[in-house]
Amino acid sequence: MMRRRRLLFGGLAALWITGCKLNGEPVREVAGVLRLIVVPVPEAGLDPGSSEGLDHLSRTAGTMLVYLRPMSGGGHVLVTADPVTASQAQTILQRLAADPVIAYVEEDRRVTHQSPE
Amino acid sequence: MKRYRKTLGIAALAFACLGIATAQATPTDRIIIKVSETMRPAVLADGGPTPRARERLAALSTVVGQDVSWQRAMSGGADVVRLPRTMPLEQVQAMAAAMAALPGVDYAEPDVRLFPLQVPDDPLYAQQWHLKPVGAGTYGIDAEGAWGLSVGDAVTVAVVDTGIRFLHPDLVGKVLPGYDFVDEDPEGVFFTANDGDGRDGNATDPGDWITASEAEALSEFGCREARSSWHGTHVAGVIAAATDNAQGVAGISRGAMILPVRGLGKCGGYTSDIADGIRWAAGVPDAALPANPHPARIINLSLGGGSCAMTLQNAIHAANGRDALVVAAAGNTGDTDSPAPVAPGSCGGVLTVAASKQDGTRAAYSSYGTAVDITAPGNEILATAGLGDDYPTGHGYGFKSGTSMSAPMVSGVAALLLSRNPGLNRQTLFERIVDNVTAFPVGFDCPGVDACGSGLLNAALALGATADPGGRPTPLAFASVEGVEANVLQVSTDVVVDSAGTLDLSVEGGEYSIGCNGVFTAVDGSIENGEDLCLRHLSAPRPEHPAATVVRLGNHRSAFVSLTGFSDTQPESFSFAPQDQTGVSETVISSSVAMEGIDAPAPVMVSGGEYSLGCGISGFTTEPGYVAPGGTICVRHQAASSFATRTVTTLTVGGVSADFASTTRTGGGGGGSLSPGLLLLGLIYPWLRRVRRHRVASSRPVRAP
Repeated sequence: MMRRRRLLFGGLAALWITGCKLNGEPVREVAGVLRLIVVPVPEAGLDPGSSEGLDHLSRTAGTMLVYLRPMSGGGHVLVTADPVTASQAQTILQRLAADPVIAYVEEDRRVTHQSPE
Repeated sequence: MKRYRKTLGIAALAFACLGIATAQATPTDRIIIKVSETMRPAVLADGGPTPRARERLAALSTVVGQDVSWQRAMSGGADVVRLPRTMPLEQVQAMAAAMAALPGVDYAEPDVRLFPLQVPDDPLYAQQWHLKPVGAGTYGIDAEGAWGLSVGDAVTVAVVDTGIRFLHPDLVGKVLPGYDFVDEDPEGVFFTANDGDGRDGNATDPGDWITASEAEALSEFGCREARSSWHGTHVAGVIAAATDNAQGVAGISRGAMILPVRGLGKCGGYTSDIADGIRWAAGVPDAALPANPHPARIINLSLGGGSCAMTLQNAIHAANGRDALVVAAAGNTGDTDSPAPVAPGSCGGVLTVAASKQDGTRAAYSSYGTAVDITAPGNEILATAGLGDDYPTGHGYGFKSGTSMSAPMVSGVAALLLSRNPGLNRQTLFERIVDNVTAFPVGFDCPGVDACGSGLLNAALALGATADPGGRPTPLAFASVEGVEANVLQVSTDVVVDSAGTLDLSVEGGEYSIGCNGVFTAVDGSIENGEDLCLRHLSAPRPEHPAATVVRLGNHRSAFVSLTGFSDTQPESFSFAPQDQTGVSETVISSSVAMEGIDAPAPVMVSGGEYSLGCGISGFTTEPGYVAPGGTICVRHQAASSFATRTVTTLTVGGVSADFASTTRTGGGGGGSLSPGLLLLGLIYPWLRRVRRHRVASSRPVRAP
């Protein structure tokens, strides 16, 4: 009996370490905070910088968003409150893009200089 | 006496010829042709060609495949005919040879434009192959030929990059006050900015090194361990390094003014910051942006990554709307599975530049594709640089390669073009550059049709194809002043205007006075030949920073620059109150200490623990960084794992150090946590009690019933 218990706990531990879920989903992706640019449709009444606007965006995205700052061209920079995987990030962007009060949304990607050492 | 004068005259002529160095031929749009009298394009009374001459011109046009027009008759019975546009000399020579082969033509040769060779005296110039003319296996941009037409005046070129080293001796007086758009990372962290704060008017490049531990911790950003690149300073020097000043290197447009727009930091930068920087550089009015007193007509983007999305594209379009030419590196993906240009080089409204090597062939790393408009030198380019693997330790020069170096080649030539004719709009600038190129040499391996642009950048060709509208004075020069106090009015020396007539006048970033009589204004006006002109502005509020007044007189631009004195990055002494009687292995945090007495970001290093800028607002780190003026710092460490033991963290800011010490409590009591001995006693006490009850019960005599 004790031997069976040890095998069960060891197996669960191994699954946890590898990130597998018991229902058989793929290995969990590396998660990071998603930083994104949101541009509302002009005169649609959405102000991402307001608590109401942020709540709306968070509900639409399906995850809590944190407001960073406004940017030029009517855009706003936000981040997810929690790390998300790449697939989750894609889902968030798709959900926001489908919102009729959002003109466009994209990941606030990093760029680098073009003179590698 | 007569013989003496003759000798002197010959000697003077000889010295004059030597002083010109070597004349050099450049591309042309004309051919000198001598035909037999029966073939000659005869002229009518009004100077136009006769009908038979028109037939002969048609024959010339047919044989060379270009529309040839008659220009004029010249001495010796020859004529000058004209091609539709300026072409490389080799091409015109071939056409002349074809004409010469026609029956009745005595000879035909290119009507070559000659300039004195403009070879500057910068000691490192010999190593700057990219500025040289085409010849002897070198495919430079022929800046020497271009300089015969213009060396550049104070055209503003924005460099959206890592910032700049303002005090570089080959850039001092040539840099405008810019802006730092690198914002804080989330949660008050300043990793990308690496200057202790977010956005502000300080576009200094603090260094963008990446340590091994940072590269590992931030693998999601794709960073590698790297020394500081001083990238922005290098790009700026390619465009506008002081030239012919017996120091360092030469720049393409020595009169240009660099507007540093910091958008890159450690491990690059965010698209949102770059987009803001592009709009600001062009002077696009936007509520989210500060005002820019020096809008740029040319914006250099030696950066990129990924595909072109709306944010960057919209920013570029906005800049285009301000008639700004946006020049971008194509990218360095040429030897990968995805060799197409990266954004912003792949965006619309951009002049995209690929990279070539000294022999004229494509650099293998250079991205290619239909988005590329032109190819320019990008390999082993020598220009200004900072020194220091991490923090800056000085100023120097260095070689860099990449399409990062190719883009500023084009930006520099664009600055020369706008110096020659400021009336060129963005589209004309674009066409002038891409239509007047050196043909790709035999063996140029562009993997794709029209994938490397129209040809190799040629500054002399582009300038030669641009008429000079005149309308400018003899170039003005206002001496810059250095080491001035902050926020103090600075007045230039007076300069006498030497012009053919009245010139329109306007200023940006300050005021002017005609007559230098103490009456200054910023209102547009006009100035006459022989009048005195002075400029003034308030010096920069920051140390080691420029302020500038740029004046436009007709088609000429000049600048007066002041530079504030050295910064003070050594704080007043500071200290941390020790903490005693801490728990064993407890995390101990010091009080927060304000850095007093610094007026610029000061280097921060820690040993034996971690530090946090803002103490709790940003995260704790062991990595070297900066603290901004007015910033606060605290440190933390894990207390010792044994009693009555001292642990010390040493924080060094700007060379001033202070220790934070904690001492664990003595053993056996007090404090907020149970000692191991007490814990053990608590665990065994119930067992001890059961043992004691059993023994007591056993020792009592049993009573008789």
